[in-house]
Amino acid sequence: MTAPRFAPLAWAGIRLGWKRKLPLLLLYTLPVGWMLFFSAQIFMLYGAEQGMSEIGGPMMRAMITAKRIFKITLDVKFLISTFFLYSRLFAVLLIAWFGCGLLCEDRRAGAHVLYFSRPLTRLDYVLGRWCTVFFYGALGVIVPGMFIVGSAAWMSPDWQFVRDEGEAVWGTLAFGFLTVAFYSTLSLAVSAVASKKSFAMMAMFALVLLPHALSRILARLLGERAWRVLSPLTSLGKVGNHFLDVRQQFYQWPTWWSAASLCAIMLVCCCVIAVRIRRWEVVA
Amino acid sequence: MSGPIIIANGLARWYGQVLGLNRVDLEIRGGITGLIGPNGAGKSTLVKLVTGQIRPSTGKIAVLGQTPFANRRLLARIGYCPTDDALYEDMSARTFLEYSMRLQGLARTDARTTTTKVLETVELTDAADRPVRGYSKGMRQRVKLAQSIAHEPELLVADEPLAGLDPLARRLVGRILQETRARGAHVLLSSHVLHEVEPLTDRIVLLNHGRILGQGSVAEMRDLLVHHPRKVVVRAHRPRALACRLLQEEFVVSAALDPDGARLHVETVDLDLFLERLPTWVCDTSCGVLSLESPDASLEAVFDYMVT
Amino acid sequence: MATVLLHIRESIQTTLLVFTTHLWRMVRTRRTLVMLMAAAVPSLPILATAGRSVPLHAPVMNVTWFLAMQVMLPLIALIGGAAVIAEEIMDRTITWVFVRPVSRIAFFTGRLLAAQVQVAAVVTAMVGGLFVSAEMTTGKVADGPTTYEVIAPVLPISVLGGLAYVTIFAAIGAWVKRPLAVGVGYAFTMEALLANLPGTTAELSVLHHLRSLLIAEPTGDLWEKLEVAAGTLWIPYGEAVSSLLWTCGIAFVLGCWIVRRKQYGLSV
Repeated sequence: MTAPRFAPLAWAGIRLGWKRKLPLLLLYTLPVGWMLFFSAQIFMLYGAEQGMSEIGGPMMRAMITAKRIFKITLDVKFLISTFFLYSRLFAVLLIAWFGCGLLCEDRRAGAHVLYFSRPLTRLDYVLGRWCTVFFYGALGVIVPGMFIVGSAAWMSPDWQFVRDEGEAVWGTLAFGFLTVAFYSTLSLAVSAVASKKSFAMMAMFALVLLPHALSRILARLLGERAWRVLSPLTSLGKVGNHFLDVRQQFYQWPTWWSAASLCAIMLVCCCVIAVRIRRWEVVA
Repeated sequence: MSGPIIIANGLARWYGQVLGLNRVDLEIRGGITGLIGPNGAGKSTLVKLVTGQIRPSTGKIAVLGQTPFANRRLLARIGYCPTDDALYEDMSARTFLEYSMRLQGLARTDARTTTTKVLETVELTDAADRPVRGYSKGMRQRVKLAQSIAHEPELLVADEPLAGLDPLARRLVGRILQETRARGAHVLLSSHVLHEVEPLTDRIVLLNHGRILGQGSVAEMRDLLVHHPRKVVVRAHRPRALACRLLQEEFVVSAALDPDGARLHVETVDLDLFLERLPTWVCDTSCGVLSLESPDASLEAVFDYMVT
Repeated sequence: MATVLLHIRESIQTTLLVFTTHLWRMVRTRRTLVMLMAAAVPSLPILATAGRSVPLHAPVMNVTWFLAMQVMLPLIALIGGAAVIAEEIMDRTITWVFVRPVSRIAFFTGRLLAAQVQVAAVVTAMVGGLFVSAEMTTGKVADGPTTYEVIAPVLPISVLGGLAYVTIFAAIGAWVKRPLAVGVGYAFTMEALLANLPGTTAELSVLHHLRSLLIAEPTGDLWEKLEVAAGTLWIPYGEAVSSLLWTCGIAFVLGCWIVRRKQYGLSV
């Protein structure tokens, strides 16, 4: 069985991104920080639940006391949802950093002419680039999410978490996958339109933040929270929380509205990419 | 200035892991000096070091007796014509030159006068008020050259000033460089268009892979080829007869005919002796020489030999 | 002493020359057009509410708080500020300046001043647009603050914020290769995160200072209702202004230091 034709392109993109260590360090510091923070929380809460004061030292004893006093209940799914909420703008940033330059820089450097002169279809080319950006997005979103889930599974007595809340594993995976896939597609779409990586990054943030701010304003002014379905950030949260089965008291509109909103945006992105890439070939 | 205008000691410059210049020791004296080398040889790096745009990684460089990096006193005495085709596209040549002269420290009226004068020198007066974005390659090159000579610098550093120019523009640039030299300024001319540089330069510095391969006049450089057989091409009515005669001499290494048999390519280890005795052989063999040329005498040959 | 005075005089002359030359150039670029388009965006949702039953001043206050201050102001400042040195590097025209006998600091100052004037003008246009659109849709009422009373304090605060952001982005532009990309990350990720953290950590962001300035105005109680986050510690007016001015100063000094030391001709 041979590897798909887009695989070398994807691999080359991954290797190229790996060479620049400073952006990697800066972009992944916060997701890793959040990951450790939430994992530590899970560790402490499970430890406190099991009364493990002797292994955790004063910190754990304080946690046990706090748990008793404030009746803190351990909700891993809620913690995962909070992790995705806190790291959502960083997810946009790191996916924009790795994805926004891929197509426009190829076009500026004329590299697309070289790719298209090989037995590589437009779909292969886009898939190769998409896989590259997806990889880096997954490293900052899916991997930390799964690490938190893994911490819960490992810390829970007799794998209780996996037995009782096994669907959270799939929920986390689906939430992460949806987030990364959505932003990856968006980043490639703006990259296909923009002339420079910087402009593409600005456009991507504008496409994420402007609808977010506008939908927030509309929701406040018109007293209808459903307007917030127009914000990709909110819609991703809504659909993702549905996967995790986390209750959302603020966002009381059908989940499929958000799903439809995200699908529509992704469809537009795919169309933009297809149209732009087809035009490249004509120019080339 | 009788001493060297540029002195480099152990000068090296890295760009990350890429080597730009590798421990160069150099002394460049007055007149027009050609900086010759293939792409990636380190010419532009040396030029940037001379004009104080970058600092050396190791070693020292002194230009007109001073360290160049961001040295305003020195920069006032230097003119620089870069290789990049980057101008303020929305400005006219006149505005750009006036702006450059004001930055040079000239008063507004002086800047205007100087600009008018230099626009005449580079023959751009008619197009001076049009935005630069509409200029041809040659016109843009002349704008770049104009800003570098307008303030009459002591040292003009020109990085590839002849690249991409038509013959007329090249002649103009050549004339300007000669005039600059004639008024007592020094010129450092970087190029890989060898045959165009040769008639302009007094001395050349050969660079390759960040190292100095040789420096001196073209003739001195040629003499570096003592142990290298020199080529002579002879066109004759009876080249075979001449070839037979030539191969009897010890200092003739080889003699080969063109596929069409019209020209004879000779390699000799003693070109002077060869040229001295050639008339005798021509008479002996009655071969009727039509033309004689030695491609090795050109800078191109020196360059090819040194680089390869 | 005379040499020092001469040096200062030369630097001021260079600054003014660079300022006048580049201000005129910047005004005519596409960048200014993009900035003006961005400045017009906040007015659109206000106009969209015309004829609808919405609470008094709610459109303009929501738009100012959530869109103009948090998104458009940093965006406009980013477009203007990142261009200060980075545009010259990208266009490779920086060579023309740095091979001349000019002070690099004077050049940076001149270009920064031009960018600040440009951004201040665009921000003024944005706030003016907010006022006009609010006047068109809200009208006057007998009790409660007028639109002018609500909007007037926004102008100096926005301009001050714009100047702080421009200086920060100019320093970033002098330092990194992709100032727009890094600036986007800073403005919409770091700032957004810091400004919304509880406690005094929020003081590390420019945005929190701008919010605090609005809250400290006589109409502050109206603005405060928009911010629902509990535990937010607002900064007093004078302290916020001085912090923003200090931010400008530090970013400027940092930018000068980078420009003075950095080698900009770094391609082989």
